[in-house]
Amino acid sequence: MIDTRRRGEPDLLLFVAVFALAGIGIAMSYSASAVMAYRIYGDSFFFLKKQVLWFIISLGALLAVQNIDYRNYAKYTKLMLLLSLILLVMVLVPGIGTGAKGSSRWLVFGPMRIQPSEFVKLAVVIYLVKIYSADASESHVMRLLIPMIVLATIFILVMMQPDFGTAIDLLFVSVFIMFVSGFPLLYMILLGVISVPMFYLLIYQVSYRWDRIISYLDPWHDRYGLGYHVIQSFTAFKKGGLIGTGLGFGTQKIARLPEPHTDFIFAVIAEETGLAGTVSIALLFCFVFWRGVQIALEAPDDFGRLLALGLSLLIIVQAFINMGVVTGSLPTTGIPLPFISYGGSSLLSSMIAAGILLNISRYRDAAYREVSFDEVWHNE
Amino acid sequence: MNKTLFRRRIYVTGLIFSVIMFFFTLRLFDLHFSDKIKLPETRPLDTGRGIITDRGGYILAMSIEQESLYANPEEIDDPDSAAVQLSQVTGIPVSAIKEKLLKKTKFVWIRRKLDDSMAESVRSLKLKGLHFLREYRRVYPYRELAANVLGFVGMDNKGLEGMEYRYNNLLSGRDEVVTDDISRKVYSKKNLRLTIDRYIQHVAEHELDSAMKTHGATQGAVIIMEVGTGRILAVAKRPGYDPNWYFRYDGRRISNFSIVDAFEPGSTLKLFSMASLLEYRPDALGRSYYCDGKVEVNGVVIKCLHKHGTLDIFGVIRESCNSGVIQSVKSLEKDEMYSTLKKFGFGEITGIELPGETGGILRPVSKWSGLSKYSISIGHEISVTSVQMAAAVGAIANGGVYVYPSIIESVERPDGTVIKGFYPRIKGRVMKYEHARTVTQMMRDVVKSGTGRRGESVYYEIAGKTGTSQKFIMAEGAYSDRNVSSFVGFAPWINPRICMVVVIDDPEDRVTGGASAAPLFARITDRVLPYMGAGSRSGHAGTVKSTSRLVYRSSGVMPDLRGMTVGQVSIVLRALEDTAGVKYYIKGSGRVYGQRPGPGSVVTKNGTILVYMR
Repeated sequence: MIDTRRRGEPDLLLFVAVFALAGIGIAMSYSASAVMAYRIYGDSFFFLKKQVLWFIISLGALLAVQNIDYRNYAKYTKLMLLLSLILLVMVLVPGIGTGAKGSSRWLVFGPMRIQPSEFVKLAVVIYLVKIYSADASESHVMRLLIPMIVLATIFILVMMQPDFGTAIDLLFVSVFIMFVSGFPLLYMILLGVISVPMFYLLIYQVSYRWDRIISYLDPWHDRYGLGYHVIQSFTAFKKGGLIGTGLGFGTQKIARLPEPHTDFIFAVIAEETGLAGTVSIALLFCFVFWRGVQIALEAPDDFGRLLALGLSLLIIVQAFINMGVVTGSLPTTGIPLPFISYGGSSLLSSMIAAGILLNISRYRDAAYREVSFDEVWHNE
Repeated sequence: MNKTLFRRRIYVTGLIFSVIMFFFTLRLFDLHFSDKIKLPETRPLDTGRGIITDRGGYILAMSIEQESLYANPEEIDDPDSAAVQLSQVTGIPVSAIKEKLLKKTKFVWIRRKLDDSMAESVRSLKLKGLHFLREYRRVYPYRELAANVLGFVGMDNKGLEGMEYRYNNLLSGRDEVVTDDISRKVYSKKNLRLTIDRYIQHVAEHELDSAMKTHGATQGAVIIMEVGTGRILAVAKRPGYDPNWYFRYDGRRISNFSIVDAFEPGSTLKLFSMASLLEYRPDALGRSYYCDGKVEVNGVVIKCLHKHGTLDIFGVIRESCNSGVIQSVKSLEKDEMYSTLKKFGFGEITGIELPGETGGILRPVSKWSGLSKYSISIGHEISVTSVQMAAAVGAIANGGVYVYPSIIESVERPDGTVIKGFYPRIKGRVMKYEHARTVTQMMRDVVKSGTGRRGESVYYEIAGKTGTSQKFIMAEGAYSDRNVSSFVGFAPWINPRICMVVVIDDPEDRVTGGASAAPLFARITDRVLPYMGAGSRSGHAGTVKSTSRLVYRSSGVMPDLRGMTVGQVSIVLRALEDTAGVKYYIKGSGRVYGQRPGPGSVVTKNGTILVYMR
């Protein structure tokens, strides 16, 4: 029998939301970086130009990815994992990986700088989704153990960069994927208990992490040292008030906020657009997540369901970690705000995630459309 | 995967994020509006201090950016080697650096305001934990010039002396906060333009230096005031100091003698006794007095320098005869004398814009003894400052109108807009015009043929009065044989341009004001008046004709172009081109510092004028 059903159009609402976030990102990262760019490069458009270029590349990637059948990814999970491991190891090799302030996060390819951990996140999510969407043929222990080993390896490699933010992001997303896939709660609690000593070591072993937690609890304890950035961020919110100082009119971004165009861009948004802006951005992320959940619920198979949810989680968990740090609700850790922060890798990987989500949305029942026999015959 | 379990858990996940979003929104409200979050008070940005210039715009004090080196000892791994390396570059002892590097802090100054080359060599050490901060350093390009007026600032750019101290808020902009073009709040610094002229100031200091050397004096001061406006053109004091290195000097060098130190004026005050006499007892003009070398009042004998014999009142002043003055003021009431001196500003501050001014001592009449009137009439039992004296003499030169002295030409914003311009502060008439002319005639006689003969100049006709007073030593309660020699006066005696007070404190050779201060007065006059374009008397080589900056269309005389900008110069020269057919060449850029022919000289028809700028 010839199948006369064809996949439908992608979810338009999700696309609009993502496009809006990326647009806001271009505007805000320009506003946040202009003064700095002028100081360093003598060209206030320096970062804007690069970001617009990355936006075009990312948009192209999104449009391409939403056309690729998501079921293909299930075939290549091992390859993607292997590639991820290689990239993560390469970053750590001195001379190949570059970074700033004692870190090593980027790989340089000609004029481009790639942050592999942004793409590793995607590979890990797809891998986990494949494992947990498959029917449980093995015991729970095995289904826990092997992914845990893989995850731990990647986790450690990311921590070695060090990129605590991405590692934590990955951890939360993984736990949520396991949870949603229907993994027994007992095992998950057990896993949590086992990992407590590991976290204890991770935090106490590295002195600055503990300092950051202290400064999170009381930023004014060391107001010119560790608490400085958080206080500058609070000041931005306070200055922003209800509707903000107006685009481009913020002053906190000038030499006061750390990384105003990347990790602390939410503070710039807070100052320049006020409560109206910050709540709108948070709601936009929630909207994206809601669309993702909707796509997950309507997806035709288990892999699609879990993948849609995993990718949505990837976006919203990262967004809330970033916004949590900027609002002083979480200890300081460097992680970009998806779609909005300046940075090519972050934008590209977020857009790819959105592209996959859009692709999954094309296979939901409601989206399918009947085509005439002629059209099918003609195409085949 | 169990579909119902999946759905249930998806809803739980959604719920978790709804709760997170709820609390996050609360947090946002809290951050945007709550007072619970303590906002650090924002301090406006410091952009350095304004400059201080002379009246021609030449910079006397300015701030330059320099780098200050500090360390964060927590970031330094090896304090020992760091200290050794730093010591080699900066020259600070190793132990001192090490002590700083071992402190338990995040911030410690190593050295502030380094030279650029030193900063560069420190940077090339590539040591961890060393950082630079941009700071402003105050620089006084003319070093000692007008140092006693300018004062200086401390390490934190706070004015500690002089104008820097008095106008600290204005210069540093602490009086006003503005928003700059990248919407930062900044202190709005102001520039200060003084009435001081760097050339006149230089002449005063230079000539004072050589006079001090000749007479071996411990201290000397010159103050020059523009007649009619009260502009202080120069305040010189020796020994001086270099404000760039102010910390190397003691307070005595740094203080401004002309403003803060009062001294017994001696004979120079006789001028004001005469002013009082003319005002209240004009008949004294016709009288004559006999001097036998001493005079007795209230049982006290006051000596005179010589037996002067019979003198009229002009002769009394010409010869500075104590006996004559005392006899002449016998008929004068104490109150009359007191009110005249008060009118001339003695006993109270002039209000000149310099810190630490004293008003000298002029006791009220109720506290005068029987002798006081006579003592004061010859300049004892009264103390005055140079600036008081200059202003008082200025009133005589000005035909009897007293103008308060002033040293601020304008207060300007960095872009040149004038916030507050100079305006003469006129007290009003303090003596009749004809009396002022009479006193001027007396002063002219002093220089022409009296005690001030050595103050006579070939080029200019000077009017003045000498003064010599014994120094009263407080500790001993008696007058010593050390003296203060002074000369006050103005020039030219008709249409005066400047009035000047010269004080030589404690000359080693114990000479009188006529011998030490008067020649100094003349030398300064000879150099300053041509510069100002004041016409000299004829009959000698290089006669200078009177010129004015504004009257440049007057035929045949070269105007004074110095200090002018290209725009100003070309207006003047184009006018000359039209009237005299001269050609002109301008060399360099900036402001005019030289011209050929010089100011006041004759412009030849179809000649060439050279103007040098820098």
